[in-house]
Amino acid sequence: MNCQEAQLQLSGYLEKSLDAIRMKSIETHLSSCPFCRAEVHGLSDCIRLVSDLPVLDPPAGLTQRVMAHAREIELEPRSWQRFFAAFKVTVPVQAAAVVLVSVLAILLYQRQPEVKNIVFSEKASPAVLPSNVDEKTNPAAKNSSTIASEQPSRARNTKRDSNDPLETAPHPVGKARQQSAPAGASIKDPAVAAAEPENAMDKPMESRLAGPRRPAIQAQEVSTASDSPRPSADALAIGAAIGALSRSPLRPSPFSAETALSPLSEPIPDFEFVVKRRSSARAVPDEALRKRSETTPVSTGATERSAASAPSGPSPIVEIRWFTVAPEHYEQFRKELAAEAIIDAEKSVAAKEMDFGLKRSRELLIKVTVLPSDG
Amino acid sequence: MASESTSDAACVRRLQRGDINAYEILVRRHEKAIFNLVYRMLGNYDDAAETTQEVFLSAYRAIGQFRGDANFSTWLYRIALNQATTRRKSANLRQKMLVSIDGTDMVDDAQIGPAETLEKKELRERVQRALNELEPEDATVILLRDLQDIPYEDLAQMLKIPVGTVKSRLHRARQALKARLAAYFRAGRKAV
Repeated sequence: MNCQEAQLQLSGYLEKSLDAIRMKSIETHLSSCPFCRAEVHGLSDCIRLVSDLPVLDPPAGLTQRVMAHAREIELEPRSWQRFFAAFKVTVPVQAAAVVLVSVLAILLYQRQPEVKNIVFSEKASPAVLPSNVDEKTNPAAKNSSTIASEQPSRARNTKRDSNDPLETAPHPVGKARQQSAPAGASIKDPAVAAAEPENAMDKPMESRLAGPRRPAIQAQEVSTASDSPRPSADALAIGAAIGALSRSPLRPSPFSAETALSPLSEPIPDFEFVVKRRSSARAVPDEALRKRSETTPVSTGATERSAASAPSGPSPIVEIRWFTVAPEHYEQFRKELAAEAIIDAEKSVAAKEMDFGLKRSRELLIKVTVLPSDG
Repeated sequence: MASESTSDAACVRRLQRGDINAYEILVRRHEKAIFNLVYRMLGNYDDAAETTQEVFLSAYRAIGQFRGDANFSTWLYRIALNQATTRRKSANLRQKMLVSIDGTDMVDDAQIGPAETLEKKELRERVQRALNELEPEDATVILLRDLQDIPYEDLAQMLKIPVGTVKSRLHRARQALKARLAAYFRAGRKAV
């Protein structure tokens, strides 16, 4: 046995944990090797020094402190208890989550066609589609009091007419044109038909593509003032919108019951006009309107909404109409309004005039109160 | 009613059934060994007391996970070694250990008695300092084997290494300790 082999077994030799043969071999080596003998003395001293270290008593009261803390601790459950505890806690949560997700999924699934159609409608609905089209093809839309509530029904109507617009229409815009053309041909009111010339069908579409995706408000529809005050699309030619002013006041408003606009919900216009109908327009309203519509430029792109007051009542106010006009088209709008009606009063909100420079960057909201003609 | 003669396994079963008094028996039975092991690992009396308390509380919290595959003492030692090793590795404590070496003898003096000589006191300080300088795993195996006299098989279970590895690690640790005490050995032999 050499020194290297012996030193590996010196600890075992000191602890007498080796077998008799190895013990004898190491003893033989140690008797002849002073280096390994010194090593074994050193190791023996280390063992003795460590084992001779005094055993200290723990601090008094250690057990009491441990037990005092232990009594405040709620014991952790055993592994199987933790399993069932986790099961117990998480199962209701998971079950509730599954039920919730399922219900949401079903609701979403049921609403998906509507959602698709709403999106489609926003993309494809012609901004200048006459209200008569809606009235004819979708009676529900006729009874709708707000534009917002009108959109889903219009979407459903679009789906009913074309089965599935997403599948059949190669392009939403094109599809909308196809739908609006025949509908326009069956307009009952010639004045409205005149207000929607063929080329006017395309122009709002172009302007709509450049603007936000909100569908334009239709010229002949009656809406409450609680609608969005700023329909952003210049969907309707201003001439057509103003032309609508010259319609016969005898034409009943579709929603006479909703003529009273809430002062709280009425938007604040940038400009407000009070106009009177010209008597000539009343005499031959349809002819005049058609004529006016054919000659009215559409570049101003006014979007018009109206809120008719009680048509059969004694109130001098016949109609309140709302327009959104691009700032650069305001003067043109005013000129055409003056041509169509007698402007009794014109005012702009003083507070809004102060930030008129800011308004330049957006469309102006104009309120036109149409009074009956003096004659 | 649990008594002092009740085995560890029986106390553990009673504890797991909710008899907290059984744990008091276990604490009293093992606190001295655990405290001394931790104290030699850390070299500071107060830290050892605090760590020992944490060891028993940790064991109490986790008693539900003790399956009885090993002895309770083996399981308890494993917790103590983990906590002491973690605490020992703390840089702050390392600094504290160097300062507190001298304080060790103040504690020991009260228990050793007036007959102890200054030389023995100095020797204990040297040994404790040498243990503090060892790697934690070397100090652990020396303390468990040479101070606590734990069998190799239990050491292997406690350290989760084979018995052969325990022996080789112990031999290497003893040589490292001897190297740190070499100056003492040379001086002692000269004195002798």
